[in-house]
Amino acid sequence: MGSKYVLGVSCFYHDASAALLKDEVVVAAAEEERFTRKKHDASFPVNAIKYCLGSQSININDVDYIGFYEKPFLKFERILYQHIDSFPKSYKTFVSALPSWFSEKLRVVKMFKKKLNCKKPILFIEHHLAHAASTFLVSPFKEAAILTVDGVGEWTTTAYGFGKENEINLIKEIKFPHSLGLLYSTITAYLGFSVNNSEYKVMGLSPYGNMDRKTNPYYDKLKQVIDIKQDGSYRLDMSYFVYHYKDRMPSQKLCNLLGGPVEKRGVDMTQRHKDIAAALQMITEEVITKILKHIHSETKMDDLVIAGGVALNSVYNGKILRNTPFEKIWIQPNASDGGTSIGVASYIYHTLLRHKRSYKFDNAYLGPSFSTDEVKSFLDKNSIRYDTFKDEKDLIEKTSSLLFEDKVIGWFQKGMEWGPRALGARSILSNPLNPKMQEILNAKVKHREKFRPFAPVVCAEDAKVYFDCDDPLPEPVDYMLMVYSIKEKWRNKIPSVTHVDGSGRLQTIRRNQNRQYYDLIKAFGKKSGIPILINTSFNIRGEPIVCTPYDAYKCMMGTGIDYLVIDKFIVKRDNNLQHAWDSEKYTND
Amino acid sequence: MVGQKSFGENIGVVVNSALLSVVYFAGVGVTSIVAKIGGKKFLEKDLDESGKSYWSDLSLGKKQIREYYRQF
Amino acid sequence: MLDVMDESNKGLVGEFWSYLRVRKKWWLTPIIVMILLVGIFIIFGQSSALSPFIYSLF
Repeated sequence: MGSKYVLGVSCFYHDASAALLKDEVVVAAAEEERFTRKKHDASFPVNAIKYCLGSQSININDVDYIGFYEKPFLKFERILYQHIDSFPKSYKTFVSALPSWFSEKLRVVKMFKKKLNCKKPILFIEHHLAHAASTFLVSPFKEAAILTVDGVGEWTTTAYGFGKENEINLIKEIKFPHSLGLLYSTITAYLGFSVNNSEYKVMGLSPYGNMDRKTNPYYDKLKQVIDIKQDGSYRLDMSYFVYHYKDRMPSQKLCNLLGGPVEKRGVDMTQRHKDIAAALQMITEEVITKILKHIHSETKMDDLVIAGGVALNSVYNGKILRNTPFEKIWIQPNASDGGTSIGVASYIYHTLLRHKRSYKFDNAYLGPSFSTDEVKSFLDKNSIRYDTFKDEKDLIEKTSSLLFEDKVIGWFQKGMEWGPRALGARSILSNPLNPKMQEILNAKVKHREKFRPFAPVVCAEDAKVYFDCDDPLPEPVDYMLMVYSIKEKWRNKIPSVTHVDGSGRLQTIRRNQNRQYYDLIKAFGKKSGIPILINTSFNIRGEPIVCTPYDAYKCMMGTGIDYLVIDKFIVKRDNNLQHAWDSEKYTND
Repeated sequence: MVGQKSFGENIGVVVNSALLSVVYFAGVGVTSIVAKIGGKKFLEKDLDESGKSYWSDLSLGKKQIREYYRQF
Repeated sequence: MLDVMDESNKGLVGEFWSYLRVRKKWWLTPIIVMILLVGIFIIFGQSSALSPFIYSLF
């Protein structure tokens, strides 16, 4: 018996992605946006699928099973129900959205045939089951309680249950239109940010607001919008929303409640906005804490896995073990819809085909990688001036010196990261000790809102020295999924990664995950006294994280990154000014 | 070319809108009116202030593999 | 007959038909029939562009 290949696919709504299992091991996974260079690209992930198959030198008909991340007809049913319920108010969305159902959303099987010449049948797994599988079946736990919270799948918006060995049972749900994820998105839209993209900015804004329930005026107001029961179950008062029939989210009534119209994009955030963000974050935390306490009392399990867009709320994730009776937590790095392709594939392999579990996810570098020869030939072909490091020691030594001299480094090694965060394969690195570094990075590359600090990376065994993290250190910290307080005495030493409330969204790294990255941080620590770097995603503002050497070089030349360290080569921007351009002229964030 | 393409797209929009309008008013509309007269609800929107819980039973677990070949 | 399903996907019409039967959603029949009829004439566009103002719900 040869190996079994299972392919999982997610697309048409949010981040399209594909993941390939060889037996139980995830051998390749990537999001379509990285190939098409369209952020959150939702189209059928032909490129991502081809990459996954190519990485194993197989073709689509060599794959034993193919799975899709939802039941399209059930979602279609929900949409028809929405229209029937809100007739005739939903006329516009009906006419504008229905054609895409004919062309692709109801034609998943045909899509596989047409675009990939695929002759295999497709398996359709319920969306929240795919979410649950995406976290539990690749977690370190034999059994665990499961919570999934997202915008909406077919009908479900929130579900919980438990997993045992290779089986999953989701036992309770909350259905559309009541959705904690959509409440978060509604306020995101209200504050003038883009939905489905900038929810994390609202989360980042919240610590600037008044985090006291008694004195933040918007806390009581937002509580009128949601009815929360003692067991965490909830419903929204739908008179405050229009998303169930319109192409917008908040209703006039919600605008009146919050004291003003929907904000335009890019307006400066005032204290009022910050307080609204804070109130939303507090309510979200309150609901999830109640749900988790309820789940714990129902399942009596001490380990927890979560998934769905809300599981990317790293501010709350960092509080889960303190606020609830759960003892351990696991989250897969691509916790939102993009990650369901891993879920589908694992569900087929383990649950449907009854294979025992022994694999545990601990390598997020599942995307395309490039050999030394490929990189060299790219550089040579384009007449790019570069230097070659003598060996790995030389690379670490020189790069850490440049970082210590406050240079901004584009760091390109290994396979591209799986999930929304750069984790040291496609990262921009710089010196967190320099109090000006936030400004420098913003001026040169990132152009971020002032309220958003950068994220620190630290070697796992040093985390406890600088951060008030849970002990033992939960693994999701490796994927920047948990925010912790930076210890008081270090805050003014690493100002550009310290948030206004003293917290940091850290990444921890273990040497077996990414040796060069780990060694670089240690070498920088020897020079600076603090083994921490700024790690931010390697991309032009508004674009996906870079994938290929070309993307990386183009990004450096269009921004103010000083050096690109790629494989064993180093490219200095100033030596290649013939390729310089200004990415800010073209950005669309 | 650009002009032609957008002309084609416009025709598409007009045709689709006409067809879908018929479906919307004759299909969705009639169903909606009949159902409302019959008292059927499509989205469970009401709040139950005095109730204890909004959780509803889901029991989503393993089924036979062939059930997954269908799209519902 | 209802449960006879082999390991393959059905066509669009067949799938809708078994959906209506299995889920007992008979009263959706008029809409679905109309949608299928109209579907033949729909001119396919690209999938609707992502709007920054709403979570993709439709």
